[in-house]
Amino acid sequence: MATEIFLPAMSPTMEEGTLAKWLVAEGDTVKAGQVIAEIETDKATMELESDESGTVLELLIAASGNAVKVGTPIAMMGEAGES
Amino acid sequence: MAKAAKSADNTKHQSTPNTERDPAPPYPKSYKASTDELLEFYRQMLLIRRFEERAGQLYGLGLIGGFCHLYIGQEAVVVGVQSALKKGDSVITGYRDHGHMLATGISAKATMAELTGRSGGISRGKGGSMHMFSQEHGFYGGHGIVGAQVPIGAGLAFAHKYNGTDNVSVAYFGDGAANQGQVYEAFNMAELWNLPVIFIIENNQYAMGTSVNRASAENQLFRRGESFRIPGVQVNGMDVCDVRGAAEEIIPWVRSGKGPVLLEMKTYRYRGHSMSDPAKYRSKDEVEQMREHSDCIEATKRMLLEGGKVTEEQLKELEKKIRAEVAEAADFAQNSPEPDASELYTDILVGSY
Repeated sequence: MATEIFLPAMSPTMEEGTLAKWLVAEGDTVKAGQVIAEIETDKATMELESDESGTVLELLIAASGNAVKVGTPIAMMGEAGES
Repeated sequence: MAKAAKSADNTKHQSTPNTERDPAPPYPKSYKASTDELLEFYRQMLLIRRFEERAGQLYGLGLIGGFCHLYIGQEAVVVGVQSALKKGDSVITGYRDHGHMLATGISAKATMAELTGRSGGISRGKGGSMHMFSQEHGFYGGHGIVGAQVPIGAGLAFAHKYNGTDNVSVAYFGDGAANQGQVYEAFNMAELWNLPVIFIIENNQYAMGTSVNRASAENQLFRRGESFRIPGVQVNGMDVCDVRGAAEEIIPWVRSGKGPVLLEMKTYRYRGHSMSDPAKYRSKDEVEQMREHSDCIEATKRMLLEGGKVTEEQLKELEKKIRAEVAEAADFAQNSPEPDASELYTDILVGSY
């Protein structure tokens, strides 16, 4: 079952964030707890960890693009071969 | 994965029963669970984990106010203990309590809606994680003050004794709370009055900002009852069968009127103390090692599959059901209305004055 990964609020005041760097690529398998991206917030650059193990199906937001609002889907995760 | 099975050594904590009091309970054995029991442990632990992950996401979306303390990593403790309790027993804990609520049978919907402060929540949205409560399920909170649940837990045990039931009270607290003064006042009275209470220290090895070894003069927490003549037992809290085995041995012992016992569950939390804790006091590698080699859910999954009576497909089907249950809870928690303003005046006094 593919699930969306949302941009989380990484501080109580964060409203938007910029995807500084993806540390995974589409098709990569990730483990729960693995850092998958670096997010620039209003305060600092924070590491985003994956909640679950699975395969990165799609990266929805490009790195170093414009800031996106908290709650925006940034990637799809699931099992290899799913869409 | 096969290699990981052997590596439990680094978390297999040798236990030393404290024999200060005579008689002390025998050292518990690991529980031999049937396939059905093991499957049920697995279901409950996985439900707690998926629930907590979703709670973390909702917190990240700003839907949960205040603090949020996740139970991820510690699931075996509450699931193992709860499985050995009976109706009428009471459970009380601190604010890392969502898992305890699910284990006592409170629905995922009512728990999640309480986190988001909606009227469908177990405390009608007025409490949040620090004021969750359900007398019906024998769950007495959900407490915001570190360690404050311990004397209340002793009080619940007093009530069981006073009312002449054979029920017991289980008071959970963390390694940080184990350094609070009121815990020891409660120990003293509990032993003095021979109360049917099981004190459970969930030692996840880190309090809010530092490790138990840096913050505790006696870091073998199962010995903390010694000067009160309360026997203590250390248990591998990452193994649900070890936890159940300990509960199986100790709960009837306490139930039979032999006085309080202290159980130290050696466990581990993968997330920060709360959502706003970056957990810089430990290495990422340490967390990864624990996840990789000592995870209670993965270990149970391996036991199920190795037993040969459960297939990978069955477990996937179960996981799908759990995901649906959690998704439904999350939807409910976002769509249930906020409490009406008139609720400000309810649940304050018993009766009307």
